Amino acid sequence: MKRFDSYSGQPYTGQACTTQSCTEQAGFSLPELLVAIAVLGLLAAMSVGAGQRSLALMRLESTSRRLALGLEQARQAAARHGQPCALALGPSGWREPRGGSLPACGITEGGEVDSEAGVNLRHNLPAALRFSSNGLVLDGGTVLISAAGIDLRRCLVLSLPLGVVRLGRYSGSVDGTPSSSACLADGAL
Amino acid sequence: MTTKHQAQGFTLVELLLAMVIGCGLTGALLQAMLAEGSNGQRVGRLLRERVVARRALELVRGDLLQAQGLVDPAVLPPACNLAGRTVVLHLVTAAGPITYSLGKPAEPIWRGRVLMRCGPAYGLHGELGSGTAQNRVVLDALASSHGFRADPGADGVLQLQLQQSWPDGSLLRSALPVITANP
Repeated sequence: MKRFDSYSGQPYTGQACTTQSCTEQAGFSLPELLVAIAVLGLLAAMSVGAGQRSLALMRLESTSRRLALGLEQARQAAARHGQPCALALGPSGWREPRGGSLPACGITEGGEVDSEAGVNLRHNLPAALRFSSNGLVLDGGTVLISAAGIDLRRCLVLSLPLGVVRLGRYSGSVDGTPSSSACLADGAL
Repeated sequence: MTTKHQAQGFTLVELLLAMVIGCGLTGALLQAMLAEGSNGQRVGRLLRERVVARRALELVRGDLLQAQGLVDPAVLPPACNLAGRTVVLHLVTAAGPITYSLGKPAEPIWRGRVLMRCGPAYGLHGELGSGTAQNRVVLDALASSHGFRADPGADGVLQLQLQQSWPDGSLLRSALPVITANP
């Protein structure tokens, strides 16, 4: 079998003997090289696939937590200022409600959604989510968060009047309005 | 005369042994880091839940302070279908009865037993509204036997107690005394 010298890359011609010594030279055969390249390629492909899924999962979880954080900040802002306020959920996260008589709750972390990376939101919240001046939540609902590249779908259930937020695993249909009855508690959370 | 030298390096056994030891150490380190991370998450969740439990007790206290008194559910029935849940506090207010009940949740997102409030919704400033009664989950993960108690004490003090438990063994107890004019 034709072998290649591991140092020079030249075809291996056998033992290199001198008048003083004769050393066995190691080398790789062509099939060995091909197998090594194939194995490395397979490992690289697997790691790229797993990495993409992991990134999608991170986007999903971070969006879920950002949305929950935005709600808590809005509730605290209403209680801190002693003034009722409102919030709306758009395709890119929390935003000021359009119309209505209540001012927007000032939140610093607005639950931004990385829509370019394929994170989608669907919800059954009202057009304006109201918070009372003593920090109660007057409207509730369910938000469904999904991301491209991952089958897992997160759901966020907002309960009133305390504004308790629970994140779970959504088992309902892909289309239509999300329902809290299809949002299951997830032991991993 | 020629001499044959053996190539210097690791044998296969040495290499495998080194890999096994390295993998074992890395795995142990990873496990320790994961355990530390999950412990941190557990503590963080308990801190958040403690705040929510405190707010739940404050909510019950607010209803108690607005109530005209406790009433027997047989005399004034709750305004909602409790679906088999146990009534733990039944108040009569000017806006209608407020019933706190403890039992299994109607939706799968809630863990353990839930404390539900059936009563008039709140207004923009926390006042009791005049609309139809709503039955809502106030808090979940309550322990089965003593999840919520309102024990009357001396001098019209009502001791509100919450006990929550989670599948990982975490326990949380919260209490709030309420001085009621008409216990």
